[in-house]
Amino acid sequence: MSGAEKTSIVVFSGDMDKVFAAFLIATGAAASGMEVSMFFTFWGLKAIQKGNLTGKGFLGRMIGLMNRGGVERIGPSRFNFGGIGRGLFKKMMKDKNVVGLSELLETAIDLDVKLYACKMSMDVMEIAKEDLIDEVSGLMGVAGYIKEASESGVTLFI
Amino acid sequence: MEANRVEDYRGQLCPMPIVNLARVIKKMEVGQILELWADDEGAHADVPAWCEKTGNEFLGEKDSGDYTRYFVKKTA
Repeated sequence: MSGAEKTSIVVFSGDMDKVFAAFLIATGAAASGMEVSMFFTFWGLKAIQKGNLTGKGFLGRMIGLMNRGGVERIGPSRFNFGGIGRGLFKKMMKDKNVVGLSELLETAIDLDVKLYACKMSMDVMEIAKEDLIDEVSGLMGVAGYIKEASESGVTLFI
Repeated sequence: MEANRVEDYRGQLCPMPIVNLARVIKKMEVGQILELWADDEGAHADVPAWCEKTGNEFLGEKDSGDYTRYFVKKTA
């Protein structure tokens, strides 16, 4: 490898605002020449899902329905007002010329930010590999994350 | 100061000026100077910080009224 400095970010939250912060830091670090890995676990998986309905069993399908993923569908952690909040924040951000979450995700991919999904969370939530966007670099467990994190000067849990 | 390339990032907010700065510098040759226009207040701190982090040289900034012109020399 190039010996570049590394950043690793755990994205546990599936809230729009927190996912936004995660991608913003990731793109900033990548633009500053760092190698960046993002680990999506539990609710965070929503940010890298295609957005289709997921789940096999009854409970899995319920989670898939109640907690549908996709970066365009997730709402903010506060003031979501049953789903309206997402649009309100989106409008406010657009009015201020802040880049959109989808565009930020694309930028991160473009800057070679590596996206990893937590396999255990996927099993629990009944999310299949096919439910994740194609740009996901791979599935990983805690050992893979620890290896990346221990090599990173910047580690964040969001 | 004679710049080899001028980029207008006015209207862009964090992190886009830095993301675009990184993209453009990549295409330039070592020793060349980039002039960057931005009106994001955060850029005052971010552009020099980016230069320090990436090993490029920050040559300074000039106030141009409602925006600022930043000068970066590609040295890395």
